[in-house]
Amino acid sequence: MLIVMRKTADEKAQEEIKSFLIERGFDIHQSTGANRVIIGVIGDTETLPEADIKAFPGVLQVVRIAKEE
Amino acid sequence: MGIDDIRDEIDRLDSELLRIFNERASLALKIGEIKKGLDLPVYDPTREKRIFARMTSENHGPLDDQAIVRLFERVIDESRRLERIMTRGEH
Repeated sequence: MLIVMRKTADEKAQEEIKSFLIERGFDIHQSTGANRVIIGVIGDTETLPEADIKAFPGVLQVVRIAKEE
Repeated sequence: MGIDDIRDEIDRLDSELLRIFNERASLALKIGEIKKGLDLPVYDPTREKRIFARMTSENHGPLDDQAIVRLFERVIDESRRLERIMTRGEH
C-alpha cells in the first residue's frame, strides 16, 4: 500500500499516520520528495481499511498494490 | 586515477558502509531490547528528527541535505524493522 500525503501535511500529520502503522506492526518506507511525502506500507495491508487511513489528517490518496495471481 | 581505480575505491567504501550499517543495526537492536524492557514504543519521531537535523548540519556535500535525509530515512526504516522483529520475537 502507498499513502500519498498532501503537500500541506505537516510533521505532526506524518507522525500520526506513521505511529498508527508502526504500532500495528507494519514496516514503512518513507520517501520524502520536494513537494510530497509518500509512505510505503509493507505487510498484510488487507487488514487495513482504506477509509481508516484516509481519515487521517494530511492523507491525500491511498493506493493499494494489486495482488499477483 | 582511471575508472578501474575509482571503482576499486567505491568497492572499498561500499564494504566499509556495509560494516558500518551492520554495526549501527546492532546498536539499534540493543536500543530495541531496552525499549522492550521499558515497554517503550519503537517509533520515536523526536529522535529521528534529531538525527536528520544533526546529519544535515554536518553535511558538506556533494549530496544535498534532502538526499541525506532520504538516505537516513531508509537506514532508520530498516533499523525500526529490526527492532520490531526483535521486540515481537519474529524471525
